Amino acid sequence: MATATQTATAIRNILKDYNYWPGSEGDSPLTIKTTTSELTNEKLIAIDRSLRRKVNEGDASYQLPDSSRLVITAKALPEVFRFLIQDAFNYNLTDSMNSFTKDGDIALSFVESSVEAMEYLVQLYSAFNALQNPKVWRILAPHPDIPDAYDAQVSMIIAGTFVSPVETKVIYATTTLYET
Amino acid sequence: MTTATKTASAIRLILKDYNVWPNGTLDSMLKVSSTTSALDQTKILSIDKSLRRKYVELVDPAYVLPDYKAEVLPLSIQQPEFHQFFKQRIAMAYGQLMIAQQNLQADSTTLPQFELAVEKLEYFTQLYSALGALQNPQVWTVNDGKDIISLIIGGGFGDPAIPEEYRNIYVSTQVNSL
Repeated sequence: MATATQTATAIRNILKDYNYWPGSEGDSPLTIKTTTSELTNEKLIAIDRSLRRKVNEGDASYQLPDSSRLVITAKALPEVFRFLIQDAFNYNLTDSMNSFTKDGDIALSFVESSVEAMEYLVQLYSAFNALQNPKVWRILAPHPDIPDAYDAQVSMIIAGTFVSPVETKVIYATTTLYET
Repeated sequence: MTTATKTASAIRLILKDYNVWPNGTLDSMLKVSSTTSALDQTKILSIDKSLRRKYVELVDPAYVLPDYKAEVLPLSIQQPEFHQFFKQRIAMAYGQLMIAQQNLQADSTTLPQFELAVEKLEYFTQLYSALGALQNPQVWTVNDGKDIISLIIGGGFGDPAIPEEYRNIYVSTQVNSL
């Protein structure tokens, strides 16, 4: 029987060849972790802080946002993934298939990478879908200078609970998205 | 430096997660082999024979092997054009993925079918890319007239000027429809 650790490793393997979250304006590789604590608001804020600290490591003037002003939202898995899959299909894959049909083998590598991106999404969707109560959290922070605007750095956490007779663990993926 | 062995291993790696050639008679799986022999009619027929023996063993013990020594060979060997052959399959897999994608939007419980459709498209594009990188890649089909068809796809690897190091790499399986 699979353990939480094995399941987390299997998810890490999905990310081995391709690890780019679509829609982010920067590289947003996912990192997979497990925890025995529930993802309460406090825990989510702690994850958010460590993500923000990490991506702003080189910036001495960086100040963490006031955690009372973070905007935390949760969405169900299908809502997030079906949209991304549809987008990856309609734009990415259909475009590269069209140029493959038109321009031939020179465009084969486009098809291959579009398929890889699609595989990444579907395998992640499927892996988290197999966990209990899967969710995608997004945490927005207030913009440091512009009132009523959000910071471009958005923390994302995809999480689900692994339950077996011997253990209950939350498996989660984190990254920082760049959205302007 | 890439060797024939490494290239064959790279093709085996493509087949690790998903290895289902459509309409297979045996287990649908492609088998990757490399040989120092040329992929000529003699070699193609010998691969065909071993596939048909496997068919007798695994599927139909009553199947009578064709007479390979007959003056008029009871088998028809064809060579569909390599690029055309794969492009058709990639287009077909893409069409199936399009339908699976629409189904997924309507009903998220169809996720496993969608996942398989993605794997299938990946399988054909990666095989096309890897086998297309071989020298003079070709496709052979050997039909016994009863739609037990051997499928062999392969090409050369190495420097033809150094025949002792030259290899042909091929994948093979058996299908009942192309």
